[in-house]
Amino acid sequence: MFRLFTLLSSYRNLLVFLLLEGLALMFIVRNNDYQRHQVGDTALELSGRINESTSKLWGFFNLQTQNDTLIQKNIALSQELQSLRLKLDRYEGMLAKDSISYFLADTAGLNEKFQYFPARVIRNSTNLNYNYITLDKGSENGVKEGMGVVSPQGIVGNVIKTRPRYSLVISALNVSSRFLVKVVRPKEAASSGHVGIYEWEGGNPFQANLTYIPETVEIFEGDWVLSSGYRSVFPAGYMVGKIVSIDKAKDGYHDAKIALATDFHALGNVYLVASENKAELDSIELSVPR
Amino acid sequence: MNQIFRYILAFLVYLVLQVGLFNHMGIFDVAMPFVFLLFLFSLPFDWPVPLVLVIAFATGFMVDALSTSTVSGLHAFAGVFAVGARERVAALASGSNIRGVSELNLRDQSAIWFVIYLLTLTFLHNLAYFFLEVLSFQDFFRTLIKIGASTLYTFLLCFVLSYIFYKR
Repeated sequence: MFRLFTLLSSYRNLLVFLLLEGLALMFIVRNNDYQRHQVGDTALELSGRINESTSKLWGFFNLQTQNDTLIQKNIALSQELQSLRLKLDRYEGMLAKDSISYFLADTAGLNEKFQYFPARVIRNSTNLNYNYITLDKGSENGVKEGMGVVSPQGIVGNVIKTRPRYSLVISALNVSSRFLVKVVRPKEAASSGHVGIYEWEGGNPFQANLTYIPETVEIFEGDWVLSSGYRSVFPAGYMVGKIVSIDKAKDGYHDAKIALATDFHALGNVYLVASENKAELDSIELSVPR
Repeated sequence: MNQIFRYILAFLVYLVLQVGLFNHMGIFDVAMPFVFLLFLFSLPFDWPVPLVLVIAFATGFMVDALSTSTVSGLHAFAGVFAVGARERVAALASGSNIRGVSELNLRDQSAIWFVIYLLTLTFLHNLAYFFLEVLSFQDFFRTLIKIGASTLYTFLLCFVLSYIFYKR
């Protein structure tokens, strides 16, 4: 107790100082509207700022969860879109009262069912001739060779190799990437349109080539290039790009350039596309004697 | 006893002069002369610090209470703030060659010492006073101008008065 008093007395001046200043402050805030208002404002702003930054902080920690929910939602929506598009195709075919187009619409994948799995790009290149993408999902997550990979904007590539936890994807930006595409007038049904082949000749990561469309077929700049759905790598009608230029035909085929829908520089979250019928399709195709 | 009586008288005179005269001598609402500070700063150094602080509080409080234009409590706060730094500033102005601040006597000090001492303390008082008056950094430069102008104005008046009345 005595020591407490000596301590207090050694800080006597400071204590008296603080006491008086506190008293004066109390007078100021108690008796003056302006200062009271200011103190209230400051307290409000301070608490508001604190709340804002804590919510930002928590938001940052929740980002992963939010991201995952969004991805799941995205998958559900694109599956719904897929089934709706197929139904639309079928009804359009029926409306046309054209047995062939109905038949075509049906073969375009009414029975095809696709499942989407989210994956994240962990390695990617766009500047080589042979570009590959590594994903953070592998055979443990159900990834199989031959699965398609799409981004929300458009197609990306297909899986060529899997390991338990990673898989390697051959990018559409690879000179050995070739697949069948369809050219349709904008907003026409995906089941119509002419089939061509997608190719990439290296160099420009925003542009690819469209070949093997006969000269006799009319195509226009701005036409959509969609995945054909053949071979069941990508679902039919998934965006590949738009035609930006059509050069003079050679050897009876158009020579057109596609502006790619996917921004390969900015690949982050992608979806693996699994066709439920692919094994069956492949087996029946393999059974053809060659 | 004589000394205490003299200071009580000085207190009253400063109070009346401040409220009745100097409060009306502000220039454009920017420079305010707080001449009563001279009373606080010239209190003897050998008086106990808590007593000086209480006097500063009381003086400030009276000035606040008697002048209608100021916010109550402002001068009490700023006065205690400046007087709290009085010994430090006095020691600083004296340089290293003093034994104890309590032995200082205002009359024995050089003019340059007095200038540093008065200017610094006035500045501290005005700093606390004007920032507390607006209680925000919104009109920061306007507040700074007020502080600078008032410090100079107060200092000049106090300096002249101290030459006239203390005859150093």
